Amino acid sequence: MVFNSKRIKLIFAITLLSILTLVAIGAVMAQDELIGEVPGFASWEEVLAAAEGTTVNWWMWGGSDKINTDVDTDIGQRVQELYGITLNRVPNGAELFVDQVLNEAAAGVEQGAIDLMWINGENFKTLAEADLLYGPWSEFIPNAVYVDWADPALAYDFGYPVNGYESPWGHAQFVMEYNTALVGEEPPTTFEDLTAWIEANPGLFTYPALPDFTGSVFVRHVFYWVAGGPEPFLGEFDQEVFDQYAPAVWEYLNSIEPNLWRGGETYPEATVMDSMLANQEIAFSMGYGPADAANNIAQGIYPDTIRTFVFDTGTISNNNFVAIPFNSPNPAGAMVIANYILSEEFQLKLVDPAKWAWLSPISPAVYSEEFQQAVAGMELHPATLSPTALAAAALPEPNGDWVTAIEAGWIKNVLEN
Amino acid sequence: MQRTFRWLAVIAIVLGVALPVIPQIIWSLAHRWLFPALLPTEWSMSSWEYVFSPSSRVVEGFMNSLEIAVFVCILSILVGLPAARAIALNDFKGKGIIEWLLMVPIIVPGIVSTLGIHQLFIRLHLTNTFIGVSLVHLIPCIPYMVLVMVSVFSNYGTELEDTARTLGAGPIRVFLNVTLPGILPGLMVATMFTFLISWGQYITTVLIGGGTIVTLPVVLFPFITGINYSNAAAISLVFVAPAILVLIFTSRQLGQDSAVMGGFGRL
Repeated sequence: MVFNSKRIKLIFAITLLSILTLVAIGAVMAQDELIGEVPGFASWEEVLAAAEGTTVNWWMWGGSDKINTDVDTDIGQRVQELYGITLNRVPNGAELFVDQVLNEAAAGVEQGAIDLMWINGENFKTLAEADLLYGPWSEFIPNAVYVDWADPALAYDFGYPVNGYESPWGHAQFVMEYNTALVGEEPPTTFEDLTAWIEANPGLFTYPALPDFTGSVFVRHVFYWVAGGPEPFLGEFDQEVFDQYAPAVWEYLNSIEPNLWRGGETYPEATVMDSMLANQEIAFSMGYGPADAANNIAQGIYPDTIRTFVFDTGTISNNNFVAIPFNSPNPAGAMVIANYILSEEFQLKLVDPAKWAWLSPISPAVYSEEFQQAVAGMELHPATLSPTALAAAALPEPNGDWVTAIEAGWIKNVLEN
Repeated sequence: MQRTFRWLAVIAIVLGVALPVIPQIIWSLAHRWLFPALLPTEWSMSSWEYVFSPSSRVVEGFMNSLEIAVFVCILSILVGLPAARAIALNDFKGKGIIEWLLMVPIIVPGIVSTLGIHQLFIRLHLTNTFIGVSLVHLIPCIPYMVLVMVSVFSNYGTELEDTARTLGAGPIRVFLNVTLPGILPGLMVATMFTFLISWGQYITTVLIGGGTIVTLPVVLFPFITGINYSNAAAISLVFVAPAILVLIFTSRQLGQDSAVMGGFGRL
């Protein structure tokens, strides 16, 4: 047998095509079946049957009237219509979920208060390490076919393996917000330019005090900049690597401090910073929501002159996940909702700038032709960067242990210095 | 002279209450209010629309807060009234310790005791229930009920009750016709205090109510930490409305030369 290179190319192309077709067919056909075993249920029909007529207590942060209303209408009403599930959105401060689950576990409660929770990476790690989550389930619900589990940003939440215990539903990416009335149309998109701008315009820049998560992610960007990229921080925490880069980061942050807001004597909270940006007390704010600026303009919180940018070297992105606690009285209902929020129907509302204006954790290519056309036709607010521009600049989060070390180091070397 | 003083006091109270509320009212109607504008440049009712929409859960939270506060008032009276009377009118062994124990919840932060109680309540199946939340509110409420009522009772002689009894009145009649009218102004003030303390509970409600008992502070708190000041202001106004009504009511009581003010300094 002789294989010339042409034939190899042909065979390769055919194989590739058939795999792609199979994947595509699989994605369309498997939508109503479990892909693997979830604890307690043999089939998706069984899950749906158990979920029908039940109430799901979904704990989430409750401080945004927009998210509250959107969840009630676009998720609550739809799961009622489609599956007969009543969604009880429990508004809360974000830090209380873990205490609730830990306390229930300590007292041996088998029927807890939470069915589903929108949870951050740190809390996920705490609960997963204590073995207090239901699962594995997230890789096996029907719409999990849309999720690219090979993507490290979906397979890991702040470096902690998801392993089927969390399901993604939204994507977040860090952006800088600036007031064109103070900064002009050309924002400083490198740390060198930003530093020069801060020196030329003292008092107009600041960042939230760590361990605030917005302040924390800003300082992570300084680490990436000093190290020339995110690579050194993606693996397990390494004290030697940390000591190699940290002094330069602290030195840089201390060097800009005299020119920060109030001479760097104090650092604001993230929400206060947004309000200071709105009132021209500072020229920049920052955060994980690329469309927050557009939403705030629409709600009258920001003036029309606010725009956003990402650094030329990229900005950190991560995903929003939901998890189910070990003692959820209704894991079936929780899975049905987690499954619904990965559906094409919901994700289309999620990415619509006129509706949710979020980013999707799912590549649009896995959804239908109509989905992609609808997305292509959506008009972005001038304060929001395009999903393509954001995706091109996306950087991974470091492992969670780095975050802890960075926060402790900042407090010791910058705040108390 | 005394009249002038009284008027000054009234003006001070009115200003103290009204001044912080005025910006809240403006904020709740503001759509755009940015520095350096003295007043909002755009107005809107959207925050009030949100307050009364089901998604905000403000109405639901208001009703839950009201029901719990009223229930807590009833429990406080049942526990606090006999305790206050016993302390004020009788001397007994260990009285000092009991007085001190009744005041402990004022000294010990609520979060400390609630964290301990949480585990116990979970075992008793009292978490996430109306009763459980009411019981945990009772802890910070009882000292105020007792504090006020002890001062009322120590200014109150039992002579009238004795007279009624010698004339043949039974214990219930004595209580309804003699005791209650005598202590009523003081009891109302104490009940108002109790109501407001229960009304303002956040962390105890969240811990024991497990997020399922949604009271007004539970709805309000995430907004205070957000940046939509219009929504926060509108919900705050709904939150302070009963407090202001209560203040107006009690200040009338306090202004009269009633038994309430009498021995206030005793404890």
